[in-house]
Amino acid sequence: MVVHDRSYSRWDGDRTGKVPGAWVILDRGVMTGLAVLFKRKIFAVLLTLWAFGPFVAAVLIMYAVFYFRSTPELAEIARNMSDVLRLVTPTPDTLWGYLVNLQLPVVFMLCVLVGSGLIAEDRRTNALELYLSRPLGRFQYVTGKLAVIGFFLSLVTVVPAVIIVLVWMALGATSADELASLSGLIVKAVEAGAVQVLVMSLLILAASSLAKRARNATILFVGFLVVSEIILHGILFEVLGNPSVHLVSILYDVRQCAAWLLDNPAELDPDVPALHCAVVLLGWVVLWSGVILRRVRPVEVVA
Amino acid sequence: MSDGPVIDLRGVTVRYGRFVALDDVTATSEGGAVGLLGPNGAGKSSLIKALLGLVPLAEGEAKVLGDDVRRQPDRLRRRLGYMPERDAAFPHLTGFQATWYAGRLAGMPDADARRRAHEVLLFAGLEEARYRDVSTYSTGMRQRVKLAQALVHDPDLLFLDEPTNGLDPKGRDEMLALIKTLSRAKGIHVVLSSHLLRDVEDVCGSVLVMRHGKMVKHETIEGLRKATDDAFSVLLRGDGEAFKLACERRGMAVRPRKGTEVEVHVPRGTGARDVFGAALESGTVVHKLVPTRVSLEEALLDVLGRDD
Repeated sequence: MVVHDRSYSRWDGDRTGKVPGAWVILDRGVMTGLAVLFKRKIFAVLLTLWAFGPFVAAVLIMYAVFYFRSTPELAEIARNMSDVLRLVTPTPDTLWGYLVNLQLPVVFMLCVLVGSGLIAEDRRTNALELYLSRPLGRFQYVTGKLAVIGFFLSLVTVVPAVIIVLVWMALGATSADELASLSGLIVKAVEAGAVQVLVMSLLILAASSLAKRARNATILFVGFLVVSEIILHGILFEVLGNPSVHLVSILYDVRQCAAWLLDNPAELDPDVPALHCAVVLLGWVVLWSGVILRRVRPVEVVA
Repeated sequence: MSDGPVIDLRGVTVRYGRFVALDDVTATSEGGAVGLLGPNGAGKSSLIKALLGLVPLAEGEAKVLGDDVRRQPDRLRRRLGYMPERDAAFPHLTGFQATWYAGRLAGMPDADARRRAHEVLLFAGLEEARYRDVSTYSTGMRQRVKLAQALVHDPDLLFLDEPTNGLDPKGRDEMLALIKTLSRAKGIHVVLSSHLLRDVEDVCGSVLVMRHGKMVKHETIEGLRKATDDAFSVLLRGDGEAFKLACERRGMAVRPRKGTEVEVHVPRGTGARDVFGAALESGTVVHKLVPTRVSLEEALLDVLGRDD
């Protein structure tokens, strides 16, 4: 029979903390997020197909065309697929569409499923007191939580976009100039994706910090988007007809900034300067960061 | 570990808006197990939170284990353990995961945090339940996992805010036994905040008494008892009312107990001789006179009463 020593023993290990607290939160948060997503297997499979389906399809099409082209008897098929290939070939236009249109519903779903509980659940279970009584400041805590939702959003936006470009560089690039151009496109895709990820992450974290339950944070998140996108943006534009009204729409601002960063004039609205959209987004980022840092406190002062 | 006082407070003031939670608190503690006593709203939890750096000091200076609370909060928190009063848990984690996570957040390497999490959960008596989600735990188990989380990184000083809250008598005794082991056998300094005076009496060697955000007294348990009036349990035969009046004329207080038994509180400078004098004067006979142990509760009431 195994005899356990139940007494307390002292520990003289290294307490200097080589790993930052934010990294520990990210590590645990990703595992918890995956557990939440995979709670219902069928739902998880559907979400995965939805999130990565277009990406996998794009890679398969690129590979198929490359393979058919290199096989003389199948070259005809490759020629017939040129229209399809044009839809998935990484260009500023296709990447813009992929990032801010195609993946937007998935981004919403992940914000709701993973992001809404990140701070709200800690507030509900009084875990903030446990976090902040450790060698961990509020800034590190928020950075860790931001990294968790940022990880999931990047996984379905920036990462696939970059992989698509890399695959095309490996299969379809025919000259050094094209390789250089595609390298530049990677940087632009990362920048455009980062704007989208940062804005949506901070919005859901701000909603989460204002609630004590994930469900309530979701209501706040959706409510905010409905008000800004439909009520303020839609109605005001109908009434006033002034293009500057577009600035109140966060999704419009993100699209404009993404188009600007990706150097995609086809999607850039000439009536509203992208710089104005960037300033508005910066304002939101500062406001939401302030809200989060204000709500993340170990002690709630009621009086 | 620092050779100086474990806790050194000088003029510490904490405000929540206009409300003053701690008002010019000055105290020093050499360590061991210290009880933090006082009625609700006295500022006990605020003091613990100020020492952990969770609430900012409006004025004054606080040093814990030689480190300044304001200047070196992270360095300090690596050496502190905290068990909050409120029910607090990391969401969606098992007992083991929560304890391991607490260790990682305290700066422990992953492998050490895992090993220690198992050890402290075993010590806290949660070995059977460690792989269950904390949300399924009973109140007693949740108190135990909070203790395990506070201990996983082996702190030098442990703050326990109402650790026996919600526990049944058996659970309470077990929790106090664990705390006693930590403070007496393992050399961990303990600050125990409790409104249950018996808990403090069981575990602590000294007490800090607070009221209205001020430090009213810092005394050893025995010193606190000695500082209060002595008392005798007296079994009487005769006119109890006359005995009471005679006692009161001598400045003694009489409290009825069972049957003809009364408890006589005698002020300092008087003693059993005065009790017999009162009996003689009132024509009553003292059948039995036994000095009674002054409970910490009475001693505390005495301290708080005098400073009112």
